[in-house]
Amino acid sequence: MSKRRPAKKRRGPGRALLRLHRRVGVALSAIFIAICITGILLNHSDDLDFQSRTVQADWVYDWYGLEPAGELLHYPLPQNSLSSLDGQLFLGEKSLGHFPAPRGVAVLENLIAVAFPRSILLLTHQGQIIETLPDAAIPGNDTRQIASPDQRTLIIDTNLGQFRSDEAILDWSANESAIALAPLETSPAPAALKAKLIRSFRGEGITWGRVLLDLHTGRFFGSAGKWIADLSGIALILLTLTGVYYTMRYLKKARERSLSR
Amino acid sequence: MNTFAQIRIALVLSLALAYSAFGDTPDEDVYLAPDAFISESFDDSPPKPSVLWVTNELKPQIQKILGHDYPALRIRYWAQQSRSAWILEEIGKVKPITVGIVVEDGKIVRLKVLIYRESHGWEVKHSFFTDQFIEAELTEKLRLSKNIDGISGATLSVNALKRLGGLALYLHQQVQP
Repeated sequence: MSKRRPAKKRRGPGRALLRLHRRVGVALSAIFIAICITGILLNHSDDLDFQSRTVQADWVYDWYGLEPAGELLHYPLPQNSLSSLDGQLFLGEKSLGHFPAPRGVAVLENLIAVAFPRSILLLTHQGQIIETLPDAAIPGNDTRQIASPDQRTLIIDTNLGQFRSDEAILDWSANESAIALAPLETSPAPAALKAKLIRSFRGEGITWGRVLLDLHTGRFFGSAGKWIADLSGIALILLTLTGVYYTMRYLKKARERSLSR
Repeated sequence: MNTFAQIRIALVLSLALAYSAFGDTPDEDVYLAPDAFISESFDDSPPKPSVLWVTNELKPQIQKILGHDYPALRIRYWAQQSRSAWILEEIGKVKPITVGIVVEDGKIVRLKVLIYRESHGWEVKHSFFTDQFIEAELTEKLRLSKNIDGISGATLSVNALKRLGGLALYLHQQVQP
C-alpha cells in the first residue's frame, strides 16, 4: 500500500507568481536599464550641455525624417546656382521654400524660370520670388522641359505640345514650328555647397536632450514605443510590489525558522 | 517555445510596429485642379490672366491681412466684368493650402480648397465650412464682414482660409475699384 503524500500547504500566490516575477523582470531588464540610464543623463542634461549639443549621426536624422530623401539636383547658373533637395529649393545657399523637383530651369535677362510638372516659378536673379504660375496659367497639365533661347520669352514642352510665352510671361501661344529645346543641364554640386544645403535642410538640428527624452519616454520608437514605456513602468511597479511581498515572506519564514531552532 | 522567448518576440514585434508607424508623411490631396476651378468660375470660357504687382502701397495692407508679407512680387488673377478669380496659397501649419476664390461686386461668391498638403485640418475642404465665406465682404478694418465658425482640430487651416478670403477681397478692390 502506497503512502499518500501529505497535501502541500498553500500560502498566497506561491511559485507561479514568483516564476512570473522572475521572467518579466529578466525580459524587461534591458528596457528598465535604458530608462534608468536616460533618466540619469536627463537629470544632468544642463551639466552635460545636452540641450544645446546637436547630434551628428546621419541615421538619427534619417530616423526623425530629417535626412533628405532622393538625390540633390544642382543647376549651375551664370551668377549663382539652383539646387533642389527633397522638396526644398535653394538659390545658392538661400532657401526659396518647398517645391517639387524641377523639370528644368531657364535663365532670362531679368529672371530665372523653374519648371515643375504643374507649375512654374519665376524669380529674380537675387532670389526674390516674382510669381508661382499655377497650372491654371500654364498650357497642358504636365510641363516636361523649359528653355529660353532668346532670354526674353519662355518655351515649354508639355503633354499638349510646345508653347511660347509672351515677354511678360502672362499668356502662351502654341509654338507652331516646334524646336528642339536645349535645356540647362544639371551638374554635381560642390561638396561645400552640398554640406551647407543639408545643414540648411535639417534646420537647427536635433539636440541630444531631445533624443534622450524621446528614448526615455519611448517616443523615439513612435506611438507604440510610448505604450511600451508606459507598460514597462506599470510592470516595474508590479515587480516592486511582488518583490516586496516575497522579501517579506522570506524574512517571515527566516524568523520562524530561527525561533523553532 | 518558453515564456521568456515569447515575451522577447512580442517586444521585437512591438518595436517593429513602432518603426513602421514612425514618420508617416501625408501626400498632397488635389480636390479640384486650379485650371478646372478657373474654367468653372467663368462658365468654361475663362478670360486671359492678368497680374497685380504687389507695390509698396499695397504691402502694408496685405501685411495686415495676412500677418506677414506676401511671398511674391506679383499675383495672377482672372477678371471678367465685375468678377475676379484668384488662386492663392497660405500656410496652415507647415505646408501651403491652395485655395480658389471668386469675388464679384466686392463679395465672395465662391471659395474652394483646391490642394491640401497638411496631415491635419483637411475638414476645411468641406462645403459646410467654405460656404460660410459666401457673401462675405471686407470691412474698413480689413476683416471679413461675416463671422466664420471654426472647426476644432483645424484652427490653423481655418485661420489660413480666413486670411486668404480677406486677401482676395482686398486684391479685388485693387483691380476693380
